[in-house]
Amino acid sequence: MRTTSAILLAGLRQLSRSRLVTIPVVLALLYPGLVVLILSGTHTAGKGMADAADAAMGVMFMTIPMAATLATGFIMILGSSLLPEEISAGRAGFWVAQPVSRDSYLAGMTLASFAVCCIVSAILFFGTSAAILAFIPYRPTAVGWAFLCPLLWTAANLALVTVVSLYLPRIASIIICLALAGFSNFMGSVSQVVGALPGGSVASTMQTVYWVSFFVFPADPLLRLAMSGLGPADSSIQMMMSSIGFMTSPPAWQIVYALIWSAAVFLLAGARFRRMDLA
Amino acid sequence: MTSPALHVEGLSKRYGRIEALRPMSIDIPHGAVFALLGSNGAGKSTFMKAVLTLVRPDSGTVLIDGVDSRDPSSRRSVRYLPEIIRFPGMLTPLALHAMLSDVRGCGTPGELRERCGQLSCEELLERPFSKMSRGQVQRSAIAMAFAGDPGILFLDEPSNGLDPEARISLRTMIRDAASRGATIVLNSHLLGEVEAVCRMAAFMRKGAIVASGEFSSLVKHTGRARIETVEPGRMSEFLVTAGSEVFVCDGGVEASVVENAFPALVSAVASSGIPFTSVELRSESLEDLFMRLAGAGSE
Repeated sequence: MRTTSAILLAGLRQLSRSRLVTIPVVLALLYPGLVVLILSGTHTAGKGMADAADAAMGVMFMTIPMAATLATGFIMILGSSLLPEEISAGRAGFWVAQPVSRDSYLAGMTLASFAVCCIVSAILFFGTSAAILAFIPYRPTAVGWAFLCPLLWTAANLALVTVVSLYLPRIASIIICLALAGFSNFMGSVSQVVGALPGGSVASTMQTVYWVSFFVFPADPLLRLAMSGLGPADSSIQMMMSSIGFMTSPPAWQIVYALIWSAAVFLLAGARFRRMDLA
Repeated sequence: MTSPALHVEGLSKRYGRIEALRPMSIDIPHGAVFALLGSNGAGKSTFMKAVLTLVRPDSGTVLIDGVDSRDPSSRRSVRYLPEIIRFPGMLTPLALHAMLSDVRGCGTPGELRERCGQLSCEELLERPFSKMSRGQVQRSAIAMAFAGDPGILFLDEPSNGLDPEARISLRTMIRDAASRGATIVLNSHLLGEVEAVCRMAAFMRKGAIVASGEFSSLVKHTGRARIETVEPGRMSEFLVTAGSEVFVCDGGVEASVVENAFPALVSAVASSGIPFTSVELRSESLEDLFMRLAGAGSE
């Protein structure tokens, strides 16, 4: 435990001064700023809307998916770079030559990158929500989920890219993980749309594809839950879409599965790292 | 009976079809300055990495101070100076040493300051690695490796990038550490440096240890005796008359002699009446030994 926390601190110190982190953090901070800028320009128009909650919902539809895309990109780049770079630069071997087990090293470094990813995700998700709240006061649907889900979603994305980057070169890891994340998200949306429409063979096929993508990479429910938690509780848009099955919170078992999946993938990364030659 | 500082038994490692380490066994006693010698690709660095579990051996047991090397606590007093490493550019040696101290559960900035003083690099303590030359990084890395009270040091090409002054300081630090009871495993291609600090070595070729032990037990008689004299011409004539093959060299002559005939040669030289200062049986130099045991033509 002591060595893991020492490696975690070492990792955080290292990451806090790395351009791989500082540039995305600055860009992440700019994003809510951009939302503020846009909202300050359209504030008068927003006032004309019948319901502030619907106005907030509309803005969230436009801004949160983009925030999620930026966060995904950052997680994939950091996750695919950190460990492979540590190994190729000889630093992983240097640390493991100390009284540090490989598990402690991996746990410390992964926690460090997870902490940094959480900060960036938090800036993007909560910073954007706060920016919207500053202009359009609304009551979020579920504050607890809104805080927890982006972190769980970050963990799932980081778990995926960590394990893939231990098997494949960096660029291939980024491409594969972004493709999986994008596909999972896309199929999540498609599944909701087709679920709200009358059934048919295409709809059935789409649902099957969605379930396959869900079991392979179950991050989408976490993102949906985050969005529904962040979203306004009394938005008529949301209520209307929920009534046809769209914009509903995913069932609890999907969240539990996503958590178990993330833990299992981190364990797989640990098993891979334990067998690797660090030279 | 105390366990050796390092006990290696049946250690082997393959990379695909390449046998990087053939099953090898060796014991390195406490307080030894032990050299790993061999050509490029002989397996010296792989040996160090396998001992420290950086590469996963295919077979074998490694005990560091009697503790299985797979147990991280076995590396509590171990220091490792890799041949190539890129420290995080924005960190300073002091900051990195603090992190290492956290991991080891001991260590103070003062001990690093002391070692940097020995290497004349105190000004580097708070300089980021990114703002150092290759030699300066190496000095800092050596200072970090020797800081505190290491029990066993693995130094992989420690002289890389060092100027002559720093090399001399390094030799002194190695001798000092050994005198305090530390065991040093040194991998170096600089035989002069090895000869200056080591008395024991393992010679490696194609992933196998072909010979190991004290240099004195490994060197062979060259078949020549060296006679230092101010009259090499007269001495040569005398030795030729006595039936020896003679080679004139700087400061004297060398005469061919079988090992058990050396006392007779000494008596003959002493009775020749030609002034001389010494007669010695010539043994192999470390370079000769290296070429015989580990060189390209040694098979």
